[in-house]
Amino acid sequence: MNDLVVTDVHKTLGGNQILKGVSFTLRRGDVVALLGASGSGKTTLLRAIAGLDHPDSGTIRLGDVTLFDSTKGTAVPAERRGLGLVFQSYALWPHRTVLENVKFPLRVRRVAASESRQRALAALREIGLEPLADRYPHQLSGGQQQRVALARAIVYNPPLLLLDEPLSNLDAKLREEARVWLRELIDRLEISAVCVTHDQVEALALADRVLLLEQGRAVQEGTPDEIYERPRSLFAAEFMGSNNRLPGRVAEVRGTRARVAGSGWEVWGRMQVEKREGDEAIAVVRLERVEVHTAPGENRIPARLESSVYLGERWDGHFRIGDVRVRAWTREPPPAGPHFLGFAPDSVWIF
Amino acid sequence: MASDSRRRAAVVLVAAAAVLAPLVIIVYQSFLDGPFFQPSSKLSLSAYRFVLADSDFRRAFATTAIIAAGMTLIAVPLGAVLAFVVVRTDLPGRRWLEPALLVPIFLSPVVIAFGYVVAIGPVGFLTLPVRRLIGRDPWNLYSLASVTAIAGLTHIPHVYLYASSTLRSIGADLEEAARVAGAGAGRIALTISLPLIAPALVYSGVLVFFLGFELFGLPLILGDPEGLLVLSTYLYKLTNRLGVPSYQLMAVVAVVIMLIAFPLVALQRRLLGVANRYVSVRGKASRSSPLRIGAWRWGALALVVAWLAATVVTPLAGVALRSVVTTWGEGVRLAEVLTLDHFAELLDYPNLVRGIGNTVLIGVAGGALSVACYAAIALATHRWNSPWARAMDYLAMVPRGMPGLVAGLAFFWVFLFVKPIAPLRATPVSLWLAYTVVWLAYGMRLISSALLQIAPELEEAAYSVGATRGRVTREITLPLVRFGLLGSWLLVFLIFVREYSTGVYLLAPGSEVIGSLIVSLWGTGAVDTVSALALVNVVLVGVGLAVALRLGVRVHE
Amino acid sequence: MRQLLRLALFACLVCIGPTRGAAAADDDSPATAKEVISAAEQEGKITVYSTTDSALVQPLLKDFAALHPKIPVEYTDMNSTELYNRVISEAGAGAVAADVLWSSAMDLQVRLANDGYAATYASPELSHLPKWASWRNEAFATTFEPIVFVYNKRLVKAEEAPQSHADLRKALETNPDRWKGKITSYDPERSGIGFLLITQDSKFDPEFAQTERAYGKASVKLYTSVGAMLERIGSGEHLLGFNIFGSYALARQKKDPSLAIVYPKDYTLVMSRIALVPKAAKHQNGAKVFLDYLLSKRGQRLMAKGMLFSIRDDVEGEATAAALTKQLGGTLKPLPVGPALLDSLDQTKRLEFLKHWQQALGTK
Repeated sequence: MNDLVVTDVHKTLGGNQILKGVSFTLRRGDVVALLGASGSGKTTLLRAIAGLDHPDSGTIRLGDVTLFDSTKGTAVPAERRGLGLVFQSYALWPHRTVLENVKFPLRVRRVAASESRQRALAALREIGLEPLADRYPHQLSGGQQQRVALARAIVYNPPLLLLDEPLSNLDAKLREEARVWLRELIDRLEISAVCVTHDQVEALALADRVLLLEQGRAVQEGTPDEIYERPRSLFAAEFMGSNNRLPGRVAEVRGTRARVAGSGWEVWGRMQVEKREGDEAIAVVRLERVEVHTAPGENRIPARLESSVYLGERWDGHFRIGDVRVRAWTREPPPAGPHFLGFAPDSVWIF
Repeated sequence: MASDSRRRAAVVLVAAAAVLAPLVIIVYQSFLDGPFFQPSSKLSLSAYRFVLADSDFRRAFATTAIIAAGMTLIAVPLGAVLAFVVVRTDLPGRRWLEPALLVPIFLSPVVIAFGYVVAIGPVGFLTLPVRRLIGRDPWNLYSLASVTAIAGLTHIPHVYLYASSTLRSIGADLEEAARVAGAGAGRIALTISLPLIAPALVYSGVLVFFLGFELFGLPLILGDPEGLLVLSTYLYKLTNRLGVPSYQLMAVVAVVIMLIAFPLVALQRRLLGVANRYVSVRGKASRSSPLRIGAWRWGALALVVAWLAATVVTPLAGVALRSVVTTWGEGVRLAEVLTLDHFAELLDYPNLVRGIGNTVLIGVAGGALSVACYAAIALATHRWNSPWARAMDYLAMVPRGMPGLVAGLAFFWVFLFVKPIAPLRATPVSLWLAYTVVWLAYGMRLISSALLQIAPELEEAAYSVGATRGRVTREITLPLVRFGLLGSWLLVFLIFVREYSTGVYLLAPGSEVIGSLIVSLWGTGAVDTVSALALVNVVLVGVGLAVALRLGVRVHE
Repeated sequence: MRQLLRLALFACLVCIGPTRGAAAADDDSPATAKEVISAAEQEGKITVYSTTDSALVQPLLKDFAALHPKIPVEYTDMNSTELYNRVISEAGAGAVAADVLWSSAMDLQVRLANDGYAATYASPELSHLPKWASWRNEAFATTFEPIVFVYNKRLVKAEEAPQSHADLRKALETNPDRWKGKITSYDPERSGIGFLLITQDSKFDPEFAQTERAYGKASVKLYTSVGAMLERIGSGEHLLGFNIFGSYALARQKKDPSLAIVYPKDYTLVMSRIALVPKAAKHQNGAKVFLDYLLSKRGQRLMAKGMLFSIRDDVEGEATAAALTKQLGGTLKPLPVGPALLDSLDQTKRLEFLKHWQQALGTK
């Protein structure tokens, strides 16, 4: 059964059209990531689902409850939607202890004092911060504050959890751990979640489905795997991962494949959109898919190594082919000698 | 959402009714040819014709405008500088300087003016030795320039209050970035802090300008010798010109002042809109270490002390001196005329203790109630983009400019002629209501700015977990501004303690306040007893202020 | 048994009552009719609006309370404009709260009476008042206050001090530098009492036009409050003030030895504080009792003690009409309580006079 259905939501703010008709569905138990650059409208969409800002048009339904319907004039205010929201800034109330912060939603629901205390402590236990119950927010680290904010959002068992850039304020190391921990928590609670992020790694790690937004429109929706491996647009291809971009012209079309040629190079790849001979095209290939060889071969292009950077877990080699720069990631440092970059045709997307 | 709007609108409506009641009576009165409650009075424009054709009116208007403009030009820059220096730099002694800076707010202007006369008037105790030294009159206390200067200097605390509280709430990281980039204190003050506090300066600037129109005590005492006429003392002329008080003429003057309010508030909104673009209150509000201004600290301290000396110490010294001498001035040897008799007479004065008690009561209890009302209105217009909220801005400012003479009458009439509330007239409620309405602009703004400091997310988080608006206000918003509320209470207390003319017709025996006692005594010519009373007043309020500050009530967080 | 006791008690009181009344008639207490007093006692608290300062009036109020313990008095002092405003506003709203109006603004009081606000009461004390001191039994003069010159003894020698209006004019004309900016008085434009006094001056001063101009040449400093004037004379900022209330000056002189008082020899104006009872007053009888008290020998004696200058012919003392008449005789010019006062309230006449005044002073 579909849990959250968002249909054709439009929103204009201050003269700018932020959302230009976005739709998506969330199945119960799924985690959907709203991924996009800043200005893509992802936070606006999240706030619309939360009920903090109402869209100009569209509908938002959760199960059989209509949260918003512009045609019928329905607009349930935020405080009656019963969803959980974690702010980017955590928004912990500075004048209340951690326990009081978490208890608050239960008090609002008139849960008896002893029970709400128990449930709040249980929520804190769930996130591993029970010993800090009597501290004040300013006495906690960023990561701890984030977890408290989460506890506050789930203590009343909402059917849907909304997260606004949950990991962006954490440092890199913490972020990795938090990713895993957060996903585990969501799974354990058997809760649905919508997560807003600009970090595609975060989206890939947390979500069951990713909705890629650009300029207020949904560009592609699918599993992380689909978005990453089978981008349907140049934007999607370039947004995910780290890519090489080879602009050229279609020299030959053969079935689903095409040959793109530039000055001093040509390469076979898979057409992601309809192309004809003579069309301008861009070949996109992920950095990790570029093979570094020392001998010519099928679909290999000679290249000159300009520099290589050691990044710890890999080497980042910068090559030049004609007037195009191509980067390649390898486990080992690039070998000496003439270099030929190899491209598996299926790894090359032509737009 | 709709019920929330309706509730907000209801609060605004009630406030509007309280503000409009006296205003409507005044406007109506201005279009009659006699008192509005006399059946013989007819609609007429004769009052407008008379006043607008009166050269004295034009003269008074021009003088008032000049003083108001001069006041603003003095008070705003100096207030801003003072705020920066006290709040941001390592000025020595700034902890005790701050309360001292607020003193002019609770000194009655009549007392201040009179203190100046004793101290630096033509035969003042500072003037005489200087005259002996240089052989001629060193200065003229009664000139337009002097009156403007004194008015400006005594209104600096108003600007200081708004500027300093805004400065305190703005994240220090914005100025820290400038420091790291190598900017010195002066550059930071001018290019970073100044734009950041621009909204506060705009608001207080317009407020001070408007207060200039209502100025009464100062021009009354200092204006007479040179015939300086301002709108409020011109009203005196109108009262007596025709023999019996002519309310329609007075009403015309009040209407003219009210009309000035509109473009002023519009200008204020415009400037605030521009200024707000540069303000991001969201910066981290951590306390950073104060700016070191090196050798300048002594210069800054000198500036602050100089201002204190000119604005507080000088007139107070005058008052203090007057309270302990039988006579003063030219040809008097101070040692021969010292006495404590005036304090003894003061103690004999009937109703003194009751007057002091009433004043404290109305300041403390009345002040608290007023702050509650201001908070309610501020909350109603908080983050509410609606014409109601905008209308409230105008409505709040207008009563502030009405000269006390007219305001007193207007409130009197409201409680006489609006039958449902007439029974309240003899009670302290009427007095409290009059004070609350007149100081609405002041109190509401203090609370509004405190409310704006709250990050909206803190309230949104509460909504998202299901709290209703009432609960959010009670448990999140109000606790977070409690220091702002306490600070407002303190200020409103200070103001109510010195208020007088607004409630003059609503005072009943048994409810006299220090302000009315001072005026009564002044009327009998007992200036010496007035000085003693004023000194007692200052000491009382000073002690109260010190106690409050000690207990942790702060003017801002 | 209890009935008997009550009857006995009542009888005793009835016997004592008249004796007290008789005794009262013998001493200086007011001669108010007994029925009026007992009616007043039924009515309860009376409210007095007055321009006379509470401190000055304390002895009177205390004495009244001793005399009539069952008639409490609520005394509010305010300035004369406020009093007038209050009275007509309250009357307009049908909410008259005052029972006695006692104001030094003679013109406004007579205006109130003329406009029908006053009740008629033929006070039994009237026989001791001069004929001009009451009008239609509605408005009553209660004091006889001389209008004097006040000068600074430290800076002005007694020989130099002008002793009459003519002296003052001559001094200003012959010695302008000495007096320039140093004389002070009420501003007739902004002060009702100031206007009254100046119009009186114009009546009694044969050279008034010249006097006006002399004031102008000397840059007379005009104020609205007697306190401001006396303060500046005492400090030496000004040397001399004219048209000053003798009662204030005397009271001030007691505290400030540098003030000297002159009763102008050519004519000394006399002002009176006027009392009246509003027609719509809720405690008519109480008001009458208070009024009688103000006019009684007992009350007037206390007023004289407080430097308020009693008006009754049979009161002895320094601040009394009797003493003044003995000292100054025919040069005393009291202002009769009557329609002549209304003249000064005539708008056209008033504006005309003021225009003249402003021209003479060189301010227009």
